[in-house]
Amino acid sequence: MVDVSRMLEGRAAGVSIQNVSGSFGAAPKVRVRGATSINGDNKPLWVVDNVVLEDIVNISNDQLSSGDPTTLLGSAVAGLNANDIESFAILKDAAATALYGARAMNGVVVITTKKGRVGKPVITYTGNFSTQLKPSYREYNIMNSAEQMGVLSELEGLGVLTPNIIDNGNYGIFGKWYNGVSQMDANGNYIYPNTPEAMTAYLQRYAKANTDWYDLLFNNNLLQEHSLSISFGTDKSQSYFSTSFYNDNGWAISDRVSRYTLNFRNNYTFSDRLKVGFSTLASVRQQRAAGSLGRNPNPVEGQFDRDFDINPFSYALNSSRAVTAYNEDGSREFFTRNFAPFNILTELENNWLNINVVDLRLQGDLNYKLTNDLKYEFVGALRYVKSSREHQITENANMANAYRAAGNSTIRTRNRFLYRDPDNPEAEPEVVLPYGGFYNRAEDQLVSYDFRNSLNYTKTFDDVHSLNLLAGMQVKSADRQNFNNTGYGYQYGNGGVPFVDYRILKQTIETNFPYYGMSKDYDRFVAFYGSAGYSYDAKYNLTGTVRYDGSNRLGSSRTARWLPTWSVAGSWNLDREDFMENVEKVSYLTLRASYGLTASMGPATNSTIVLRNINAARPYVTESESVIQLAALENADLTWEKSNTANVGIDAGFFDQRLTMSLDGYTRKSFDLISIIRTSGIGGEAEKAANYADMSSWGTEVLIGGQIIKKKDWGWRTNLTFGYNHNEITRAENRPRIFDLVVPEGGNVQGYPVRSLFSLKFAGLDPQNGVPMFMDETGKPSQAVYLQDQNIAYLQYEGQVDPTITGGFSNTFNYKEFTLNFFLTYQWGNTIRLNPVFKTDYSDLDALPREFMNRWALRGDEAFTSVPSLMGAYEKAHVESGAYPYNNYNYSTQRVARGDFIRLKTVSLAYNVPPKLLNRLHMNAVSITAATTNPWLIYSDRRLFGQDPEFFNAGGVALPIQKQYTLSLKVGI
Amino acid sequence: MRQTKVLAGIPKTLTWTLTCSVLCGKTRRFPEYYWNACYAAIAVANQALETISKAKDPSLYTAQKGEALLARAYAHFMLVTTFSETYDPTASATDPGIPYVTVPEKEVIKQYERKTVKYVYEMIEKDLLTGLPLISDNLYSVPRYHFNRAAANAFACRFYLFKQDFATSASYASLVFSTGNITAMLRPWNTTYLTLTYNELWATYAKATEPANLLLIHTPSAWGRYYFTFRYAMNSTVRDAIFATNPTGGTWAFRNQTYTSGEQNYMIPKINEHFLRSSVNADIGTANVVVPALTAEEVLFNRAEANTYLGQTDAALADLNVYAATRILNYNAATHVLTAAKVRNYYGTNNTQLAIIRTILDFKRAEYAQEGMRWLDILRYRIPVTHTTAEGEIEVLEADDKRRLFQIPQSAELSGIELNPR
Repeated sequence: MVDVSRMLEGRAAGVSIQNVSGSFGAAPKVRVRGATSINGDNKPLWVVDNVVLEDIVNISNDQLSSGDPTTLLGSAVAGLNANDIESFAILKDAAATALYGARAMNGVVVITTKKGRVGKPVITYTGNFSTQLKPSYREYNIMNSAEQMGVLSELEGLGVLTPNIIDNGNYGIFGKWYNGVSQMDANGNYIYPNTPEAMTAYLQRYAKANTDWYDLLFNNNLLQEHSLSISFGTDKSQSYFSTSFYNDNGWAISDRVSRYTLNFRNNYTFSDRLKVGFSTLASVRQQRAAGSLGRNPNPVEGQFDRDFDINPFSYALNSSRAVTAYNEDGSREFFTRNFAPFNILTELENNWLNINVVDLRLQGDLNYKLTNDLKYEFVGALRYVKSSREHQITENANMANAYRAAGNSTIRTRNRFLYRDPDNPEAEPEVVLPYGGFYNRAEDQLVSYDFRNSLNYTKTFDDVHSLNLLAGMQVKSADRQNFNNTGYGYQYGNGGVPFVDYRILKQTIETNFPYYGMSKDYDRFVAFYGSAGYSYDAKYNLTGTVRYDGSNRLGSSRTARWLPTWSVAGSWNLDREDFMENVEKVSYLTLRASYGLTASMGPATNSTIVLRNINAARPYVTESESVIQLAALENADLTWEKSNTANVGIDAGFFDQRLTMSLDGYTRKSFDLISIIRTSGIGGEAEKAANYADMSSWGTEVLIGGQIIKKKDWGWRTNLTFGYNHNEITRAENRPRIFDLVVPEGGNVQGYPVRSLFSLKFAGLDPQNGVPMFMDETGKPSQAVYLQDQNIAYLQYEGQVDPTITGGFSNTFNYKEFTLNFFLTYQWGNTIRLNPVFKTDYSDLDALPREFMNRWALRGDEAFTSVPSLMGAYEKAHVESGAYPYNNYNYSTQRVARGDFIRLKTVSLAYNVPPKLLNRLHMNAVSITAATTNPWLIYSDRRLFGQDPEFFNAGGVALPIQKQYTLSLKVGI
Repeated sequence: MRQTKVLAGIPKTLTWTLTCSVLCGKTRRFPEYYWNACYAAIAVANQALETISKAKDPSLYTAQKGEALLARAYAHFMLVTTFSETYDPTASATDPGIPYVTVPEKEVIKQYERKTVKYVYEMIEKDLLTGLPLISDNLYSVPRYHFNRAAANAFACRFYLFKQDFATSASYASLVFSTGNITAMLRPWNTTYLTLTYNELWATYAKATEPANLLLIHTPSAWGRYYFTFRYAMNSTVRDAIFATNPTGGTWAFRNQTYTSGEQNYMIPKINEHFLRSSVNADIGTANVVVPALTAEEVLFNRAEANTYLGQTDAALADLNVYAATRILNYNAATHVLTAAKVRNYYGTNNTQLAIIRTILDFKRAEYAQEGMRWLDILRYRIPVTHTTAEGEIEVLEADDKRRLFQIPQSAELSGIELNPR
């Protein structure tokens, strides 16, 4: 697994990892002890070798699962070579995170990387070779081409697939036929003779096609990773060098990734007192993905809009198997999308994203012993990341040709990619991209510094009193820059000469979407901290920490910008007590308790007024002017989001540590959370972001490890992690719209968990026509629900989106040189919105799920089925205006499933070459491992029908995690 | 901001069919939006004023100060007109007003007071009189979208008419027409407008280049889509009541630009939708309209009305004749000119003043058909309104109906504001 964050799954109790997308660079959804904030970030802080790892771009909770191109920069640790990692620690409670202060409210993941060791040079090579299997139709519930053609014939009979469909812009088999019978070829003959026999023959070809889109769009890819490290050292200096190369030639045919990393770390001991270390980490990433635009929520119709989506996975899932990719003569077959010819294979070749990331980090550490007890420590790091996303759309892409589709007056009126000149209201819409395609570029850049100075005093008095004092300060800065540019008319085939029609720029000005933009973001942060620890005879330990953080995020207001946090923690090592001396079975036993305040910056920044420069929206370019907008009023009371956490725990080891366990229980009261509240409006803002929300949560965590069998040649070790988290929003005065609560990501309502999923109450099928009905915003059964309404009283609560229970179960068996590991992960207690497969309009391009086999067809069927009918032309014309019953159906109580699952995450078999043989080969270690990842989803809700319970099929650049087979070789010399 | 679906793509044919669920049920436009929008504008003005007062040299920003004061006065005036009793020299001393906000709000929930209509008028007058001399047209690159000098005078003219200070009202009106050529400032209804297609008229009506548009306001609203459909509908009865005859004896030019939209929905292409897409090629976005908030015609009508009350009926008739000359088809001064006798005769009264006032109100009704401006006259003259629904039910808004005051949004109670009685 190349992304380090995914390695946490099931390994640590109380940490939930949801693989919302498996694309390289996309971050999983990580929650440490559940959500802590309602509207703000919930992702943990990453700390690598004492330095906070800043995100290149901040991906919000909602963006994470959006499939937008920026998500490919979402993982903070994508540039980290997993082989360089020495250890992980996940800090969860207030006392543990106290030293990381603000932003630690969501937990901290501390990564320590490898150092050089004293001794002869050790060279280690690790090679991983993996392949992922193509998906197959067996896993999904999609109609085959014959079934699909049956439905299409029915739609034709219902008057839906009439020759008019060619005016819609998106059409397949039937549209092509209607075009063919009305158009002549070069010889003056109709392309298709308009006879019933010819039509039957034409349709039969498609009915038998059974196109395997997965086969066409996916590869059994080769994923290779080579990592080489050299470690050596003397007692005066140690060095660690590693380099790695990762390459994936693409599971989806559109995708490709290469990553190179370098890590060079040197530690010098100049004297007993002075130690210095330097390290350089670099990574370069080159990635290609299917071209994608950002998505836009559409609360009007109840869907997310993404123009020109060519995500191979969602294309395969949603495209009719009766549609073919090739003509009978082997040439590519084109159907029509956005009034322009479309073939997915051609489109993927002509519309792609290139992502390049260069990440460089320089770090220096210094340790100086002022006296034997007092130590000074310095850590300084500089990081520079430059990334670019180039969306390249050639002149042959459907996306470019859609801008040129103006064949007849109907197309001209309907094609929304044409230009309507406001200065000439009687003119027909015109083509404003006559030649070329697009070269759209986005760049994200990050320059960050992090310095820490600290003094540490450690002393033991009279052998029993140990004292540990720490004082320090930290300065952090991160400058982010984003740039984007839309390059119109770039001619890929003509030497890259842009051909720009001035009117396309005029359009961007009139619509107020500038064709380029640049923004800078300055993040400044200062903190002072101190802690004092006292321990008596290593039995009783007490630690207190205080910290004072300041950030420029909260404006210049003094009260808002500074925040003190604190924590206390105590522990009692019972095993060191006299009365435990005779209890031989107990190897160690510790009781722990802690309490403290942690904080995080909320999503609001209006401690002073927020002003924004915009171009005033006006109908005519001559009337436009640049204006300053009062984006938010000052909120003098704005402050950080905070939470108080109490934690009690017990750590125990029995039978010479053959059985170890750790139990934790916690409660957390979060307060001053940012919520959108309603005001009288008299101040000028009807809804304000203010610290008005509270939340409470509690949970337990269990970690049990046991060496069940321990013999000379064989053994069995087992490990179980379990985490439970319950949370509830106890106060929130926000007024969500219905749409905000029914989308797969869920929404926030007082009295419910963070990110709760609600549904429209299904009120049966209309006995007249099989159109679904719901309880609308006024509580009456209706086809139409106004999704932007704020009356949510008639919604059904389905459950929370984040699992309440997460964990893993690992079993390792070893026999002589062989090691076999089974690792299971599980999640429980969440609810999932099923994929939105229902639509009002099915074109002859869409795949239908098999659920449709049970659809309403005749009056009376509503007693037996809840699957709505296929709407005929008559019914469609009589749907209430402004009603989108089929989109609503996707958000109804009919379309949810439980998210519970148990997954066999990995099975691996390793062989370690025995020492005797190694000596002969002059090697330190050689091992070969065969592993399979995600081989089996042991349990999940039957209603999912192949939908991955973790994956959000949002299109764009999102791809699910796949079954993977890996062979690894590890050689140490 | 509510999002709606684009209607472009379907050309603006005159055959939109909209059902009641869209109109009455699903896309409600509460008075709350107007309340919030006016106070949002006031907040911006107050922020600007605070910034100017703290500037090193406030004298550099006097023109901006003038604009902010006028904007603040105008928004409060519209609020007090919509949500409080109409001004009355005696009753206003006790009638509840609306909160007059003069400083930026810095706390999350702040308490306010309604005070009285009289107090609100005093505050408006103070801002108006302080701001007006500071206005400088040189400041603006697109003057019609700002309180330019003409717009400020036009607002003063409207304010003093409401305050029944007719001499002052008339004097501000004359400042708007300081060039002397009134005709050039009026909409060319019986010339250029007659030659436009409906799409062109839509595109022209609220354009900054139209001299009649003294102040334009761009605002999110689906009005442009619905103003001619049946909730606001002009059916043939209403159409005839407004346009069939008039005291000049001529024919309104408006009739040549009246179209049907579905059954019994007559429409004059005035309110054009400016649809702002949520991304360059998105199908959804927000519907906006540009509202001509102050026009040359209104100033002319206000002057005529003020002059009538001041006893200068000849001056009033002269203004109305200038107006009629731009509105009557094939205008011929010889046959169409209004005289005192002609209007008295038309309205069957011996009272010249009354006849002229009725002429003004009828002219305004025709001029502003489907623009909503008549509401201001309905308030001032307590004109009863009779609504006939599509089903034939009749609803009458009487002269003293409590519903003449729009209800204040309930959320205002959070700030200690009392709602209007119902």
